[in-house]
Amino acid sequence: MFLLPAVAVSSLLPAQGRFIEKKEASLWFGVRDITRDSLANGANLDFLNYLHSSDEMAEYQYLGLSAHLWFRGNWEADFKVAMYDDFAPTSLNIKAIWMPYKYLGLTAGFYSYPQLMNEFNMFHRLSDEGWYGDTDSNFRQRRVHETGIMAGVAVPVSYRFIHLNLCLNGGISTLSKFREKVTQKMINGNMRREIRYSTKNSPALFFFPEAELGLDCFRIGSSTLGVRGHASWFTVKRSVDYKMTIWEWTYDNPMQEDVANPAHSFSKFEFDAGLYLTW
Amino acid sequence: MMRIDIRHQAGGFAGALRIYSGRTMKVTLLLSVIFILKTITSCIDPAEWDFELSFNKITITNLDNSGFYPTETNSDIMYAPAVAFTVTLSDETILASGVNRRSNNSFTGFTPAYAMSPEPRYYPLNRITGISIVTLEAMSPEIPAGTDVTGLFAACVPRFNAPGFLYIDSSELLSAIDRDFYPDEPSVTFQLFCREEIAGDKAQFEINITLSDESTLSATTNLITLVRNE
Repeated sequence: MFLLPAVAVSSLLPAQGRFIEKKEASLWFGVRDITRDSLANGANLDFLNYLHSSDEMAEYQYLGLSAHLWFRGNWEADFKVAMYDDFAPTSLNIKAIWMPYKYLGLTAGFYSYPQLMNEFNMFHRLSDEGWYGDTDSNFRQRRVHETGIMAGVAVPVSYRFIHLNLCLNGGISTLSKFREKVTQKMINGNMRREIRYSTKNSPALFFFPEAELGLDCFRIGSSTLGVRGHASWFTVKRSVDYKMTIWEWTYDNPMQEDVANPAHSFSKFEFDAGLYLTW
Repeated sequence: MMRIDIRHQAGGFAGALRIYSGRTMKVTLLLSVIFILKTITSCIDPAEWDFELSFNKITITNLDNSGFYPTETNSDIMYAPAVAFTVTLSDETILASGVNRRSNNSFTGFTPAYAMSPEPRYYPLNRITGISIVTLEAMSPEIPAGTDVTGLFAACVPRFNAPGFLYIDSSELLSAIDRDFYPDEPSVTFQLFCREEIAGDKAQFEINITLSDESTLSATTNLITLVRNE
């Protein structure tokens, strides 16, 4: 996606003094493992207890495409886009890299990926005795996006056909805001209640180291085909606070409350592998 | 010689084609006229679907609201926090199902096709001007028998008022059920839900509907036996 315009532009330029000196395109498949703490239920719903996480190795699998461009003047750009089985390109990792030294560079970029939040209504089903905790019998699931900006250092090392690139990124990110509604009815009673949640921004600092290894396998003319592996770890500690509005019986006289939840530790590990073509 | 034959055959074919296309045109024209006539005769005058309605009957049915959603029941046993009723005001002289939805001018040989099928509208001759609910049993020491307890009820008017999951206040009920016309059925139905957990073990209410012709429709619920959550 990102590579096409760059390739189109670069192909118009003369070989010597090209704006884009080298290009790389990759195709890979990866897995994403989520580890998050689950805090004991308190008085209020804590949405972060319901981020999708399981005992399995990988909660998510994705297909990814990436492009790396080496510009004239020690500048590089790295674009990674990944998609789940819906083929929506929702995971983004975009970086600009400035390489003042051969083995040390500075990075700045944008990072975003989606994850699922499942069955948050279980809080009400378990906590609200005497009530049908949620009259919506559907599987309650929503997608939330973690979106942030980041900066860091890059350490690229190449030896013959081996290329290793280490990035230490850190930044600030937030979970996408959302609204949810839970409707309840008293068991053996007439009373009905509707609870609406409106989450607030949840900025938090994150640490995001990455390591990428490429091995050149074949040379065809000026192009090189190789295999690549990429691993990353993302960790953040944040809380999701919200405004809660409760109506009882009728939609008159709602009660409102600002709820502050405790911070949760959250981390994800990703590994992906695939092929790349450099020219 | 061959050229003449071909020309002769071509001339015959063109003539047949002219005759054939002329018949096709006539048949098409005839069918078009038939279908236009059919369309015209299938039209319905929406004004013929307007009726006058006079509320003269009130019906009360018990509701079982112990579960997710209320259901009508013949049982006279209710949970004390789940006392609920359905009330229907209707004109018993109109039998809505007897309305003939078909045009009388249907064209023989074809099933009538309708450009639209308007639902009947029932315009009330006597508008609803008031609702009151009086308890015939003491609901608590503070609410003795004979008290007007209209304010202790929430309501739901399924066909006309659906703000969401919750009820409407009884003060909004009148504006929800007093309408310029009632579509489809010569009646209006609403549900009443008691917001108070009744302290006694019996409950009975009288529901009074005041109409603009200064008449009142009244009905009394069955005597309800109340049970408590264990």
